[in-house]
Amino acid sequence: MSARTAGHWRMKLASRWYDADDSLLPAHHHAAVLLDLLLAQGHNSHKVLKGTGLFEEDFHSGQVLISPNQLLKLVANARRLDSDGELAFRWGAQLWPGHYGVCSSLLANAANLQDALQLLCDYSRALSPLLAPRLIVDEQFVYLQWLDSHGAGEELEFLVRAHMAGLSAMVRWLSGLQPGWQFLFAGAAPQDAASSQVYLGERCHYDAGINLMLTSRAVLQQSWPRHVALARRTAEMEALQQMGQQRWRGFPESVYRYLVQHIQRPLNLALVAEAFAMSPATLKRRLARQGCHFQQLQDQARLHVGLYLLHVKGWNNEQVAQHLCFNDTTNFRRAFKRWCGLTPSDSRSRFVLPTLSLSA
Amino acid sequence: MFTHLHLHLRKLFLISGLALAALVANLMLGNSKPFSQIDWLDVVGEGGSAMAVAVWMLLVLGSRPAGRVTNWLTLGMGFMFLAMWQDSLDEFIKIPAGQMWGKWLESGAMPIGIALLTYGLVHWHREQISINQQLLKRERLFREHRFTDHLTHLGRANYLRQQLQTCLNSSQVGTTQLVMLDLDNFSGFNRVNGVREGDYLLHEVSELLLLNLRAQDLICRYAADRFAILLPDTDMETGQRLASELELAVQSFAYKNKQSGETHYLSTGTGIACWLGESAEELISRANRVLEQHKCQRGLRAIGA
Repeated sequence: MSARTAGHWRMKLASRWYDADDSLLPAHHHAAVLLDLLLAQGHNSHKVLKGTGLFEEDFHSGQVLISPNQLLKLVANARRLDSDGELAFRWGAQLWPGHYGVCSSLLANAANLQDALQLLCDYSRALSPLLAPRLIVDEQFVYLQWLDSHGAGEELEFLVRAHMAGLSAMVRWLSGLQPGWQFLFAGAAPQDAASSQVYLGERCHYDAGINLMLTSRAVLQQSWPRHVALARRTAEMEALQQMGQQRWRGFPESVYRYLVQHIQRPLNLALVAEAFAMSPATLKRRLARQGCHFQQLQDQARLHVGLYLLHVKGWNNEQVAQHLCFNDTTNFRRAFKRWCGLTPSDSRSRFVLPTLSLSA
Repeated sequence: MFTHLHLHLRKLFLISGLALAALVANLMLGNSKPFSQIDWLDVVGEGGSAMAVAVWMLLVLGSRPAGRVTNWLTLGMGFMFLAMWQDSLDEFIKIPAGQMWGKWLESGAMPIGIALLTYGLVHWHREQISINQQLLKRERLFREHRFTDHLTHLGRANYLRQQLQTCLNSSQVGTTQLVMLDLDNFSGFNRVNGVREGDYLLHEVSELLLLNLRAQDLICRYAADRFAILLPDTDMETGQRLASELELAVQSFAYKNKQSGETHYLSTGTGIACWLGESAEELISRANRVLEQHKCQRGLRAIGA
């Protein structure tokens, strides 16, 4: 629980990164919301906080900082105690704008969807410390991908459900509109679909290889009724003062982003380690401590870029294989199948973007 | 788990007092057996039975409110426990030949205990019948506590699926209606008033809906603020009438905020689907879709709004 200063950063990279056991997150933010939901359901606080190293008092003082690992442990406990599969959605509905200080006031005053999504990305450490949003906009669609910041492991699906439901609920609350999201989940369909049906609607796709939500870009600039320009400007100045110019990201997330950025280069562990100014052994150990492997991150990066090129750009296998530094198409097809269980052509016929109806 | 236990402290003291008294009497009046004469198989068998009866007694007391039926059940099991307790004590302690009280405790307490327990169970049965009548609309002829909602004490989606399947197996196409109902802007209510208040609201709405149903109907909480109401042996027209009665009931409900006492008025939408021979899962999806369509038509935001 010691608030040790997390100070690993390199000027070379656009953002700083921090480890999953760096205590940087206020306990009374995301963790408190989840704790309160469980207490409201009549769970015992000792059971809820077991193994987190936290006590109920820590949430009241408003002073205690916790690490992503402690928050993840709390999520693990919550998932175990959740008997009906609804908790992730209930937590999600409370996530944003939330009560996370100045960043929440900033988000509550967002001018439109684009502004809100950008703020969520810029202040992800304060607003969304476990899953970081990554925003992509092209001619037709707005995509919001959810990245695993600290190696959530088995908790990932719970987090993804919470964050997707949370963002959709926040947009509805702030805009008064329903943009008609499509939800793509890397995980399998839940056994009981009732909660996702009610919280997310019918347009959920599972085993999609990626955790992403998308909607038509036509809604991006529609102005939101709750936006107050002056309040937003003041909050932004304060947020910049408090949070600084730098973006803070989890270490596995930083490596993933680096891999996506340099997807056209044949990268290996040694080259990436060099970019992060550490030895390959240190990088490996640091990832392993957060439950990740370099190879797995590289596979994910290639799969996600591959999916985009196949589905959105409509490239053929050869072009994608070349872009992802594969020597031949056969190797690429085989690898792709290993990553997501489908061959590129099966994946293409399963999710056809233009036919995903986007009207609300 | 044992939230009711504090109601029964006196009964527990009585039984443990008697058990203690039996132990003291044995120690004072009897002679302990030499180690070699102890039959360990008997000790495990009889001592184990005594412990099991004690655990049953705690489980029954821990889960029941105080009352006549509880008293009979406890006394019955208490006497059985005493008989087995004495039975296991005399594996260790030999009571001199002339004294009959040990024998009497061992053989006499058991039939008394069984008689009391039987009498208690007969009354428990009658009590259960009257409780079942109260529960009828929440659980149709089948109980599964794992599927019960902690918020509203109604069944959840998996219970609905199971009951719907059973109902469809034994009825004709066109005679079963499924209604989906949810509150308008419930997520907004939660944001403004907090989740705890939202949970209270759901609980009260569920009670209100129960009051407006017939004996054969079943209501479950599907997810969030969405309720599913199964109407067996019902034609389309009756189904629609019942659905609009439920809407009216919710509209005239004046919910009182638990903290501020402020009144909240609610509105609701329903979607009804008549069974046309499809699977239970498909029928549920169709009812959900009808509900969403009605919301769009009423100019409300779809999904959870």
